[in-house]
Amino acid sequence: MKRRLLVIACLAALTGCATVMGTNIAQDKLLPPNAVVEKLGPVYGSASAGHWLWAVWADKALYEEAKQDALRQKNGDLLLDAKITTTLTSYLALYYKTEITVMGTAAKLTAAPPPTR
Amino acid sequence: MIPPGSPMTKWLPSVFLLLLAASGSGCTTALGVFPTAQSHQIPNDAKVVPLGHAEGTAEHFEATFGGLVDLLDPTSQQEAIREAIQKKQGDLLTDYVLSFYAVRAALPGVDLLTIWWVHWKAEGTVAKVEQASSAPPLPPGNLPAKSEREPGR
Repeated sequence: MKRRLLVIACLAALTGCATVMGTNIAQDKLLPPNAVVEKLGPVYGSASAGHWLWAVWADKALYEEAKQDALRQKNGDLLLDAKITTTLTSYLALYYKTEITVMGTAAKLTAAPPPTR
Repeated sequence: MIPPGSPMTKWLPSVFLLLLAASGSGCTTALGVFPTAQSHQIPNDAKVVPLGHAEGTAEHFEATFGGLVDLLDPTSQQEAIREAIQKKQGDLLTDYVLSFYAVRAALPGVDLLTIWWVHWKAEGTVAKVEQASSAPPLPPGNLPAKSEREPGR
């Protein structure tokens, strides 16, 4: 009986319990009116943090880490049409892992061309 | 193997049961992050002057007896945004991240009555909106009718 309980507890510990929440954004930055945006291609990035007994807040700092991880792939400076997912996995309510994933299109902001007359 | 009569044999079943109860009680925390470019609409000809970084918070409690709670209460979201804007005496929050941290309190095994404490945080750059027209910028949650809105940037 003890051995079975141990196996179940170990399985539960390894699997964890995940809560996922996601959102979609068109752009993550306020653009100047004359901004010219050059799309660079699809990117994926993630950032995670773990803590015993309580979860690390998925805040701006962790999001920026995930975003920079994604933008680094194409050397972009702006994220367009992105899906942001926050996953919190708890292992036996003892250890919590917070992860943010970013999937979207990287873009480069370039200076606007001078007006033609 | 643990020898019979050892003190470990006394507390080991209790530890197993505790671990099982903890894993069976489900997730007790929820998190979410929502990056946003601007807190509300501004006219196209408006000039946005950044004032600096600010953070605003708000919290609410939700209770349910067997139902689903609204963790994403829009009023609390707006409160957090408004607090951040007021800290710098600005009009608009730009390039900000809205995030929440929710904790559930429930009796183990009795999931009918649950209480959630939800804490919201808005972090971003507060800006002053200088408009060409005389109309003042609208605070979040008070958008005009669709026909009156300016197209987004």
